[in-house]
Amino acid sequence: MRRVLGAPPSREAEFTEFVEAASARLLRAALVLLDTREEAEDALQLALLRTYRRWDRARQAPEAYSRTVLVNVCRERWRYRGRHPEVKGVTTDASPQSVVLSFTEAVDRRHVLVRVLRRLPAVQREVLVFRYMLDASVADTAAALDIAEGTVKSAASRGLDQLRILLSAEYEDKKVRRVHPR
Amino acid sequence: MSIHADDEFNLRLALDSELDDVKPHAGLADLVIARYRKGRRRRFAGVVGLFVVFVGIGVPAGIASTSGGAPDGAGPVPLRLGSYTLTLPDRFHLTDAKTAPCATGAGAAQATAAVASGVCVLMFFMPPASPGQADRDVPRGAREVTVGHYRAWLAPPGYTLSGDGTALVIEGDNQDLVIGASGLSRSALVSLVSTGLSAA
Repeated sequence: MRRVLGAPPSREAEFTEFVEAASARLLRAALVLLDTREEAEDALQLALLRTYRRWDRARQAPEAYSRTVLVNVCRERWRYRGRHPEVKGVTTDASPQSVVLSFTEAVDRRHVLVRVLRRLPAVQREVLVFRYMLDASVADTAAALDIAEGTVKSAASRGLDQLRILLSAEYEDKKVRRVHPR
Repeated sequence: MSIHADDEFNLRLALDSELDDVKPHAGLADLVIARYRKGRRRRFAGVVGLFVVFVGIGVPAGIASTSGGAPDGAGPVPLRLGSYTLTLPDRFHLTDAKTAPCATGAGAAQATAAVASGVCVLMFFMPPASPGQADRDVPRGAREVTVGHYRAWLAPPGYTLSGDGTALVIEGDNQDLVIGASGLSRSALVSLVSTGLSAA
């Protein structure tokens, strides 16, 4: 109960501080888990809203709480898309064509890794995002994704292998394009 | 930074490098808090609206069924919810919050109620307002009041369509305490809460 005098530290201030510290990392994770920047920003906003609604619980470990919420929001989007295949996101930053038509190598290269990550199976992608983007431990990843720790380890290993293969193919393809431009 | 199968593979560094310019919009926290407040105002309107509906239907029946009953015991009646206690005069007796004539019907996880002849008092929790920002979070027309040592606001007249239901919201950090009443004027409710409410 709030007293008129001597109010405790503001819930809003705590939340704002957390958002400033963590939102960039969460947005990047959402960008890999979803298809477009718009979708990622929407998902992040919704995840933060749900976190704020449960701030009393989330404030103990806000980052862990919010990344779990974020992955659930992303899964909801995938399920929605599965049920409504006619709904497609507006691709703004990572379509294969946009990379092919990029003017500079720098612009091209900055999309490659995200685009390749998006081609991985969902579990591998989620595990790689949690382990290597959100710096979650194996145990935290398992808890957040509701899978066994062994599954986290194997999905991470397979995901990295798959990523190496896809990236190799990507760069080979690019070499061919440079030699034989379309 | 590029990654190739022959390179030393460092996904974390590569992702940091590739996405280092991906940043959320400025003011994201404010945007989220504003969305939260908007939803909360709607939810509050729904809760109080249900409260009013139940008051209109339930109070006459509730009063009829309780007015002839004897109080549970002599002395003041403590209405407890969480760490809060509202001490009511001895003419009240406790009742099931879900079936009380002034029940919200909103399925609050924690609620408690007491009735007396012609009066029903209900306490339940609601998600919190934002500390220090009460003036921006209360519904339009709500009247801020000081209840004992605590800051609170009275639901605006528009929320109590029957003219009989009154709701007092006492702001908390973890959750807000709502004390609804039927058969009491707003000033009588404030007076009742001012003298009777205590927190452990």
